[in-house]
Amino acid sequence: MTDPLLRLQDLVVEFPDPHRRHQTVRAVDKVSLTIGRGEILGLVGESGSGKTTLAKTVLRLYRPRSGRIELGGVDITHLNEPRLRPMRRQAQMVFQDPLSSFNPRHTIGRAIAIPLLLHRICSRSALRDSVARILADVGLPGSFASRYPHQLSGGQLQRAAIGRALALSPALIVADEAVSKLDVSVRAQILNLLKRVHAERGLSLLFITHDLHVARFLSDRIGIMQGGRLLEIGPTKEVFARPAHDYTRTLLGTIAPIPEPVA
Amino acid sequence: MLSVRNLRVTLAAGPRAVPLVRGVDLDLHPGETLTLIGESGSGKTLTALALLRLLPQGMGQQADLMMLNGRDVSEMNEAAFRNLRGRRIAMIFQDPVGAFNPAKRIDWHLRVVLARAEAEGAWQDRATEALSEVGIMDPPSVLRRFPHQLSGGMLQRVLIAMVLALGPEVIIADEPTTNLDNIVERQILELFGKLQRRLSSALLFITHDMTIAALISQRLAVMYAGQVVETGPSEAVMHRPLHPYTQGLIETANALEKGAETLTEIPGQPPSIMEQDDGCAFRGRCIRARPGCERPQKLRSTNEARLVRCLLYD
Repeated sequence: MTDPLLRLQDLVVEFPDPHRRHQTVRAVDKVSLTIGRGEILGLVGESGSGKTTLAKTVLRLYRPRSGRIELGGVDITHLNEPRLRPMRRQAQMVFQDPLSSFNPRHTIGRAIAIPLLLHRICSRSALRDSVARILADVGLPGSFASRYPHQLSGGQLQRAAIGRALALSPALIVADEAVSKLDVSVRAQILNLLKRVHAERGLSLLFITHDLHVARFLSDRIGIMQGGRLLEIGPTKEVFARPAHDYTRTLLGTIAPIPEPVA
Repeated sequence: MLSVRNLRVTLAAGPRAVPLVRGVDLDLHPGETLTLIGESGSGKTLTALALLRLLPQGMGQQADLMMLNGRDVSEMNEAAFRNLRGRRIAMIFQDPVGAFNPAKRIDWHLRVVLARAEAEGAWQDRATEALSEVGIMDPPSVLRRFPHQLSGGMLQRVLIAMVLALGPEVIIADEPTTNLDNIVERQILELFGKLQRRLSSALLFITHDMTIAALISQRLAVMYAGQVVETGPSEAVMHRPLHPYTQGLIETANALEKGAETLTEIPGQPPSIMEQDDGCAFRGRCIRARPGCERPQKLRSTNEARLVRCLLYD
């Protein structure tokens, strides 16, 4: 078996308890998992289950208390910021709320250009073309480069956010509830887009969601989190067909059937 | 119980007013649940706020008729309407946390509501009763808590208890489960179902989720760009959607449900209020658009008490 792209080992993340002095709250409790190259892992859990904390820790936006994070074979658990920078190129994030993940005073073009310049991926002279190509990749017209975030709809902005994440050609994209805030008719567009870019580029995806339908649509494997713990993890079909845990069965029970159209 | 004709909501007033809700008709019967379903910006929340006359400043509302329990309230002044709001027509909001005063305990909130309901007997007994009715196991301990000490699902239950204590004929619930987790959402929906079977109030439920709409309501009204584009019995609309927009919504939901490889997309996005004209608002995204769609579309009646705003059914 080839090495996984991401390997988490006994990862623990703790925060100071706001209600009790000198005490801590354990948000992620000894989670171990791997994501293979080109694999999509869906992480499902309710709010407070620790899935967002886990995602941010993978990107080292939080420091783990203990455990180990390996990205592309490199231990990044304790890397300092300058040494982390080249690793950041490997892993990018798409957030839930596209509006708050863009600087309102930067145009979309600038938002996409900044990481390209920071990581010296592209020269200033080639910038315009690069940005236009990225926008085209995610189905947006090149003219959007000069628009500001508030001038775009939620779906368009989420496309731009995916484009910004793809700009650095990362090996891993972490998407935290990337479609939860979108309208139903637009959600399908973004899910199809994620599936397409995954197929075209062969990148790995850590897809975090509370929606089991969405997780099943995208994921090769699914992990179920509750109270900071990873309850079970396995191939999507297996988890749906033979949930190992009572909690998973309860979650599956909340999937309500939609009547078939007779049409 | 509630009958509304030609409800309009506009941003600003006068000749430059921008129409946001464009002529909505609603009929709600006792003991019935009607679901308004639509995407953000479709005007479903504004419709609800207009029914309660709680539109934000800068918006105006008009209606040809607004019958509440046999009385036309469309011309009623604010002072008179205030007597009806809460007691005859009440609302459950999406965000339960925002509906509570964070500095007051739960018992304070129930006392205020019970006083307004002019409930008889000791308020403690009534409060305990109201909370048990919505499935809260230990009412005395919940009454002592502050809002931030309760979970979202629990707060939503308390809010429902408060609304029920007022005994309104019409209850409007605006996305009451959207902020809740799946399991809690299911519990709250079951609670609504249970209450609905027992109470004679009419429920106007607002959601963007087809699955929820199918679960909870007898009738559906699909809103798009400020208009109702399709309405009818839930079963019929879910099984045989008529409007191309409804068809797209249901197809998408079904594809996700069945684990399809790619999802049916509705291309594009809803028109912005500035681009809107009098024609069919969906025609720019519609695969079956044809000459004539640019003209204003009436709601056409088909069989089974259904209405659809589409040229295809002429």
